[in-house]
Amino acid sequence: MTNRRRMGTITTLMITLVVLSWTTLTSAEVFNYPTPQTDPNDISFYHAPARMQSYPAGATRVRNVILCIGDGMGLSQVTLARMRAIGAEGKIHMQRLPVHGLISTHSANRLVTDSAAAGTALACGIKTNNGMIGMTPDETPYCSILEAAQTRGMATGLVVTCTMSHATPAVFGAHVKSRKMQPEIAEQLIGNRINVLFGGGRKYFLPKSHSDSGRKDDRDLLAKAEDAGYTVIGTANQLRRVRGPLVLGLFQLDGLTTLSPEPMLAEMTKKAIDILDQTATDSRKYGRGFFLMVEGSQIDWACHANNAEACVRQTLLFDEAVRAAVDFAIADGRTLVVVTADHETGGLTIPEGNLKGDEIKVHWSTKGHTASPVPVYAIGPKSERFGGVYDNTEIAQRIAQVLGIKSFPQARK
Amino acid sequence: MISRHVIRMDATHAPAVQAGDKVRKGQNLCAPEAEDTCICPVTGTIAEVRFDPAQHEFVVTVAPTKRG
Repeated sequence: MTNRRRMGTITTLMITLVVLSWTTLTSAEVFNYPTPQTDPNDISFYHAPARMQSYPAGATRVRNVILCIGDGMGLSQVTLARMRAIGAEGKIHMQRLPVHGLISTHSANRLVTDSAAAGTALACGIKTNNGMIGMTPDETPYCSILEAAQTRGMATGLVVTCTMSHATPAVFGAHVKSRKMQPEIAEQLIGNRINVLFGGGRKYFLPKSHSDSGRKDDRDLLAKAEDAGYTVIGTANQLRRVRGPLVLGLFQLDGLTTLSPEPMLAEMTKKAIDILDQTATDSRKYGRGFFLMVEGSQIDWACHANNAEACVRQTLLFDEAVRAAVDFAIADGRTLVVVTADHETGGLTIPEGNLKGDEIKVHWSTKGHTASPVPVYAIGPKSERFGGVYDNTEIAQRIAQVLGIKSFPQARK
Repeated sequence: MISRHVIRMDATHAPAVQAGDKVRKGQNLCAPEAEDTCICPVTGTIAEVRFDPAQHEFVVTVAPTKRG
């Protein structure tokens, strides 16, 4: 080999190494959301906040809204997750948001709410009876903030770890008198043409002839969704490749396991944001921004089981999704992020523990829900409107105000 | 073999019973503040109380008392 050829080979090798190093660094920086796990007690996925980036100064107009709901997440659930992940001196991502509030959670007929009534308050700005979805106690359907955003010309999405037709996602895109009507809810969600639907519950989309179906009729909602223009996916790899504007991602027959090989909540959230932002940018129909609801559905489930370790893990999984939303909001400068809960579950208190957070004693007062107020955290333009102590119906009302939606709450025509 | 009885109830409120409790036929197993009443179909012992996340319900299993 001549000297010139040897030098050429060395130069090529060096360029390749530089490119490979750059690619690796870039990948590490971009894809630092949690990777799927197999151990249900492992919280090593969690990225404790290093510093809080400040929101771009001067942003006053709200283009996008991301509403994050921790199902069953009271103040003690947040505190316990913080203690276990960081210790008494730290804050998890949601706690680092600059605006804090507290909301009451009672329903129209009970001091202790369920997710259907609390979700209806958060989504539609009205009180209803426990068990009812998107309608008043006299069964008058009311528009959700998602539907109002659609009417305004915004792209919309729902991302959850429960079944897609469970109470909290249901209240944003369906109107039925009982949360138990999951087959009907699934049908209404598809009919409502919500751009992004990510979660579990494929069984409610399969016809009864299918062995895994949870329906009592022959409606094939996956086929119906495809006919309506949806791309239907079911794996994490498909999620990474899919594009909008209409995507239905159902990653389990029932609720998600939140374990490998499913996509984790933060990854689904980031992908939903990417699709909705792109859709709002590309399409005149959806050109006025996007509304996205993200739910950490299984904090509630862990607390019904009075399982502190699962409660910590589910709260931190949700907090990673909040981080994905906040990262986007800070980079975008026109996005409002509101983090809250529908109710507290378990009556959790922390009577003893050390400052490091590795010897925490917890006490559960019930296996059901409680009437304790739940936290609100917010960042972004007009986020100051979400501070203070107020009622859960005001979350949707205040979102409507910052988006310039005048008639809200409003009965559905 | 004595068949066990399964009663489902909404999980907003905790059940009024827990595993090991003795129950009587006709007893309400739901919390008094709950939406529904859940009438125990037999006299016996609560064998299990389990949370079903898919339906957001508690599943209460009652083992009937053996008849002498």
